[in-house]
Amino acid sequence: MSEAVTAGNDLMLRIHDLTLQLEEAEDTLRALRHGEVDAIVVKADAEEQIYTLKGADHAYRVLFETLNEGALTLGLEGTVLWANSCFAQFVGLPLEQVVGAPFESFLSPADRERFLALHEAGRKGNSKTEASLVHASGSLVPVMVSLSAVYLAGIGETCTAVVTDLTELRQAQEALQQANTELEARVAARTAELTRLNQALANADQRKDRFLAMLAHELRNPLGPIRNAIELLKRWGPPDPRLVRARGIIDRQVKHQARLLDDLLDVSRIAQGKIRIHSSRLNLAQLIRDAAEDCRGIAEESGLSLCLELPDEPVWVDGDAIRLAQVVTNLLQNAAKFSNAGGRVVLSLSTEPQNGMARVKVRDTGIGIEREMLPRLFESFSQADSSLDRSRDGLGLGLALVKGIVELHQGCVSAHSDGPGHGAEFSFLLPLAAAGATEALDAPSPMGAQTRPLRILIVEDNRDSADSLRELLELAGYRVEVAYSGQAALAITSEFQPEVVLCDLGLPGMTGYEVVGALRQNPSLATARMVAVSGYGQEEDKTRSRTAGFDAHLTKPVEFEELQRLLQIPSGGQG
Amino acid sequence: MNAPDVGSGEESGSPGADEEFWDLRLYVAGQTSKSMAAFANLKRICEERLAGRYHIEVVDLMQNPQLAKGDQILAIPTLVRKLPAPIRKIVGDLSNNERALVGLDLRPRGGG
Repeated sequence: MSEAVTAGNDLMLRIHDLTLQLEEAEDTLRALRHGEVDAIVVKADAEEQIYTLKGADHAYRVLFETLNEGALTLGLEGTVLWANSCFAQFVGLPLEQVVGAPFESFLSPADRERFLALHEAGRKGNSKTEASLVHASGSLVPVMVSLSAVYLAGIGETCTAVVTDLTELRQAQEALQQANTELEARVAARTAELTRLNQALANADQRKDRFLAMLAHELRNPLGPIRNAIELLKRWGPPDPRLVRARGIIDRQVKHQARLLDDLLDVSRIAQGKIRIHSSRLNLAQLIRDAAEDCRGIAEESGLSLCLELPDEPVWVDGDAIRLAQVVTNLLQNAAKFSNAGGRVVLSLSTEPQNGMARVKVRDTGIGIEREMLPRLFESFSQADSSLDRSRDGLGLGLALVKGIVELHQGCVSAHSDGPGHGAEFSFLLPLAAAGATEALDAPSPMGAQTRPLRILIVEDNRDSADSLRELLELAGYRVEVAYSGQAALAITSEFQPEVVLCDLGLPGMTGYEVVGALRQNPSLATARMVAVSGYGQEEDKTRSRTAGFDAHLTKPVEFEELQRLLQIPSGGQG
Repeated sequence: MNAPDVGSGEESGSPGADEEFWDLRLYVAGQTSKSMAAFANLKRICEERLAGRYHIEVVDLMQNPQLAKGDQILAIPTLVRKLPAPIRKIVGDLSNNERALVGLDLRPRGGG
């Protein structure tokens, strides 16, 4: 009985087992039929092999597997359902550790929360963000993550994620940024360097101008006594023709040198902005006529004919008569210098009422000018054609001076030449004066001869200067005393009672300003004329002399004629 | 496949029918679409019904075909419920939610 029961139970269990096996087999068949499986395990040679069904999506799967971008399918809550090997490489993990893990676990902590919000948005449509992946080594990989919602049959709502590595882009951006920064730094450094060099050049230029002014001044000082000595020789010298000729050479060369130094001084003054124009209304036609007359000698010496083409009526301009005469003279000298004997120089003046200008032209038939040289003609020290063995002397300053002076008069200069051998034409324009001009010439009134010798005191520490001037003045009939210092001057004034004191300013011990101050204390000298004699002739120098008590200011080297004119003005007048 | 620990399994709690720990093993063949679908569906079911007390081990038979022997796997994907006993096998991608729940014993079986 119990055996029967046991057998029955065994049978029941057996049936149950078989039922379960049948159910499992049926379930497998059902799954196969419904396409719920896509791989089967096949035993071959006692080895299990896996056969997968390659669906129509095979090509796409290969595409995504081999893509150079990370591609993933994310399920609920961002679980990685599928990932390609590229993404696995990004995070440095085997693929099987990627699948099944939450996507945000691969992001840097800072990006995680942001990603969850993004994923939320990505499930509804598309979203995109930059983030950093954490590589297994701990390093961060900058990436762009773009999400888009996809409905997959058999799974439901999922998200497709495409992850792009931005490392190279970032590196390129950084390199570009760095290159930019470096470039900017280099540009800034170069600019600073250029600015510094520019400043250094400007400083050097200023120093050069100051040096030239000082050089010209120092070189001109000794010319005074030499000139005085020549005047003495002219009056007193032996009439031996050879000596007369030698004297003439010295005379001309000293004058020539003085002119060169004057030009040099003027150019450096203009460069330093130190020249002032003493403007007055003047007739340019007359001024040109006079200047041409002064230059006629030079033209004749060079075997040139000088023609004037001037209007009959006056041409009024406002300007510095001495400086403008200097401009005309320089242009004529320039024409003479670069012309050969037999040439012709035409000096013309015309008005251009339409632009309110007067035009002065100097045309010559000289050697002409190379085209390339034209723009540089008016620069200092730019005498053309230095290959001529310097047969045309000069420092090349004449035209620079012309330009400087004309521009101080609000005018402009220009030069033209058809080339070597075709002569040259220089011209300048000056603004015409407003209408209603009147000629205001204060003609010097020559005085008659002295009835009684004037008493002159020379205060000068340069003995050559003092002694030669004394001899000249004595020759001219004056009574002269010399003091080589300020103290000596004060010592002899009471006795000598000078009517004119010619006082050097740069005296040792006691300056000329102090000497005149002390002399002015002496009531017996109340009517005496105090004349400052200085190497400095700027406006501020003259003003300073006047303030110190001088009546007049002469600039070295003093022209004897100029001094004589001054001495002929009656006592009490201003020099 | 070296199974990633998916889902937080260990959680202490008072023992009871609803507090049983579920140990699941999913056999897949690489990243075929059905394998992917099975994993996604299983994950969803577990989160809905067994949150905090399940563990899924994914076994990739592409990598280790011989592992098919142990649970006598024939078709892929196949889910094996190791715990709670008795062992149960569900073949397919679990896309039929009702059948998956019945197969896992998470819902009373209907007749037949």
